[in-house]
Amino acid sequence: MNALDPAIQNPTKLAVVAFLSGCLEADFKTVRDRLDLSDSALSRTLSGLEETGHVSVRKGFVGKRPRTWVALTKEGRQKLAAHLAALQEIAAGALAQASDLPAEPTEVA
Amino acid sequence: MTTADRAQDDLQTVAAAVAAARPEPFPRWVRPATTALFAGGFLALALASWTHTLALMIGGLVLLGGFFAVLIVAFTRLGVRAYPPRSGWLQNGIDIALVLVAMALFTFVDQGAALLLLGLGLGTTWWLNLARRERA
Repeated sequence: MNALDPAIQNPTKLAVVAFLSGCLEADFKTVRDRLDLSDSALSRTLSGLEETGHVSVRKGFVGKRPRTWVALTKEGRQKLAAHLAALQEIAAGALAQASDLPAEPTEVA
Repeated sequence: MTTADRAQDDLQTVAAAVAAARPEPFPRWVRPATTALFAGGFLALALASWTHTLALMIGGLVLLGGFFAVLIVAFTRLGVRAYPPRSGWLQNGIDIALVLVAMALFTFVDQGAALLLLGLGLGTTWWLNLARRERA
């Protein structure tokens, strides 16, 4: 049985981690725009995820412009996989329970 | 909202976020610019080998340097860096065959012809790869 990861139960944190799982690394601005977040919300989220070891943040330059690159760590990737497996188990369990119920209420004599 | 509903919502959030991480293609000018620099570089080197002209050799090397410079600039400007796409066996096979034939030509026949084959052959596969990436 997989366990849910409390560090990514927040929907914003989960979205950021899931986004980063789909690429090698992404630019701060791109993550902000594509997930429709504000600068401060994304900054806060990334700080939290960096503290828990889910993401790594790298600062660099493109020409003279500073840019921040964010990537999912190996540990973060493993934690996300376990979290997703736990979510799928919960969803599948509920579906199985629902299919065991009778389609219409049975009459009691 | 039950735990199962919440789990379902979270799974949908994950699916949407992963889909949003799709890398953008290179800007449209990158394909013609890099292909021209690559093929032009090898063409200049081939001409240098036939005419024994130092200026053409330097020009060819500058063009190939330009190819790598444009590629690096285009790559660093992307907002999302994706995993490199897996090349199919056909594509790898064509590239390897081109290099092997070019090596054989270089060693046994004519150095200029080998360089020309590399420039035109690999330039064509490069062009097709970028076109595929733009369509994806």
